[in-house]
Amino acid sequence: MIYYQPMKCEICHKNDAETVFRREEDGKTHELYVCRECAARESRPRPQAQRGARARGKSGSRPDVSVTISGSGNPPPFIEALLSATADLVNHIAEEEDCDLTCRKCGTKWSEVEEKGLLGCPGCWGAFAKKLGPRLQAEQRRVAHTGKSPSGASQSRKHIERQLQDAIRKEDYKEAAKLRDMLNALDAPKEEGGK
Amino acid sequence: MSPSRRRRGYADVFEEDVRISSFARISRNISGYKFPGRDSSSADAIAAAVGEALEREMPSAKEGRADTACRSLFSAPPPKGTTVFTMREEPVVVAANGTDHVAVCGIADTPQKAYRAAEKVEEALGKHLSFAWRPDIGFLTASPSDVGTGLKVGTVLHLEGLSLIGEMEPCIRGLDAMRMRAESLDLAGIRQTGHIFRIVNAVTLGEDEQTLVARSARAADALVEQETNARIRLVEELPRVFSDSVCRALAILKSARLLSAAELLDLLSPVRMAASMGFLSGMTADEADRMFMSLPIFAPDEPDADKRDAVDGKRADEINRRFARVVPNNRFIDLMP
Ligand SMILES: [Zn+2]
Ligand SMILES: [Zn+2]
Repeated sequence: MIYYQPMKCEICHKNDAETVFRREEDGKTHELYVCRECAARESRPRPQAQRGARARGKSGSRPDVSVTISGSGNPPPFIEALLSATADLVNHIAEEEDCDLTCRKCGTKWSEVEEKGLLGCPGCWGAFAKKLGPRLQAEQRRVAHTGKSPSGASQSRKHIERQLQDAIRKEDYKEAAKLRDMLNALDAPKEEGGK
Repeated sequence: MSPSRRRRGYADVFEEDVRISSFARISRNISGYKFPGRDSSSADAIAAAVGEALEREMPSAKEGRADTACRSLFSAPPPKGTTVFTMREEPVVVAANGTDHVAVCGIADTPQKAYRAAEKVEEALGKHLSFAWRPDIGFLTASPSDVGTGLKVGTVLHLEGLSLIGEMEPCIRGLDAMRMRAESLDLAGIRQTGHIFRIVNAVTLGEDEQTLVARSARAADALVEQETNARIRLVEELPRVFSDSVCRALAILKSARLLSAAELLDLLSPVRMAASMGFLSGMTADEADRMFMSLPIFAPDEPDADKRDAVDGKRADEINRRFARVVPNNRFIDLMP
C-alpha cells in the first residue's frame, strides 16, 4: 500500500515506520505502522502485563481474529489495543481499489477529484492517500512536509504525545489507545513553531 | 549591475519596468469543514470566522473588493462567493472561500517582503482559526498542487524582449529545472497574452517556506537579467525586429476598427516596452503601465458573439483616440536601420 512517505511510526511519531502490523478482521485489513524500536519494545514478552491487557481489552468479543505481524505471530497487546482503537481510521484509507473510492467525511468520489482537480475536505487527503501519493511523488519535491506547522495547536499535540509515552510506560493500553485516537483526530503538528 | 547594462542609459530603467510586482499566497483550510468547492453552505460561517479573527488582530481590516493588483494573485478569477478583506497594516489581501477557505495574499516589490507580510497575517489568523494540517504532508489544501506549505510565491514580470527574440522556451526549461514555473497572467479571463508572466514555485511540499521564497527571488532576478539582455540585444543587434514590432503595434492601435481585449493586450506589450525604454513621445512608461494593468479589467471580452463587434468597436474607437498622438521619438528613429 502506498502511503505518503516517509510514514512516521504511529506509536512514537518520531522515527520512520519500518514495520507494519496487520490484522485481518471481517475480510478487512487493519494496519499499524511502527518503527523498529517500538516494534521491538512492544514485541518483548511481558507475561503479566500481557494477561492484564487481554483481560481489560475486548478480546472476548472477537475470538476469531487472525493476526499477522510482519508475516506471522501474534501482535503484542499494546499493538492490538491500538489496532482495534484505530480500526475505523485505517478502514478509511484501506478501501478496495476496484470500486470508485469515496471520502466518508464529505462524500467526494475519486472520479470527481480527477475531473475537477480538487479535493472535497481535509479528510480526502486520508481517503485518497493511495491515489494521491504517487501523484505527489511525481509532482512535488518530496512527499514529506518541511516547513511551518500551525502555531496554536502544536502545544496540545506535544502534550498528548507526552501523555501517550507515559501511558505506554505504565502499560495502560486502554489509555494509550484513547490518546492515540486523540492524536489522530488532531489536525495538528508534532513540532513547535516549525520556523 | 552587469557591464552591458551600464553601457547604455536606457538599460538602467529596464529592471523596474520588467519587474511589475511580487506576491505570496498562503492557502489554508479550517479543520472540520468541507472545502468551498464541495460545500458552500458553510461559506458564511467561514467568512465570519475569518472576519472576526482579522478584526481582533488587524483593526483596520475591512471587507472589500480586490483591486487590480490583487487580481494578479489568483491564477483564475476568484470563484463566486469569495469574500475579500483588505487592511491598512499590511499590503495583504485575505480571501475567504476561494479555492480554499483562506488565502492570504501579500503584495510587495520582492518575494521576501510579500511573504513576510502574508506570513504575519497568516500567523495572526492561526491564533484564532484551527488550520487543517498533518505532520506528513503539512497544510491540507483543496488542490494537490498547493499541499504542504500552501505557499505560492512569485514575481510578475513583463518579458516582451525574451518573447520577441524567441527565447522564452529555454527560459521556461531553465525554470523547470529550478522547480519554478512561468504562468501566463490571467487578466479578466484572458490567457497567454501580453507577455506578462507570473514566475512562481511549481512545488509546495518537501521544501520549507524560506527555501521557496529564496529560490523564487533568485528565479525572478535571473529572468530580469535575461530580459534586460534580450532588450539590449534587440536594440543593438536586431533594431529592425525591435522597431517593426513597436511600429506595427502602434499602427494597429491607431487604426484598427475592431479590437478584442486579448489582441489589445498583445499590442500594448511592445508599446509598454518601448515606452519604458524612453522611445515614445505622447505616452510615458507610467501611462503605458496604467493602461496595461487596467484596460482588460473594465473591458473583458464579450462572450456573446452578436454583441462582441459592438464592444470591440467601442474599444477600438477609444484606443484609436488614445494613440492618435503617440509616435516614436527621435531616439527611436535614430535607432532604426
Ligand atoms: Zn516508534
Ligand atoms: Zn473528503
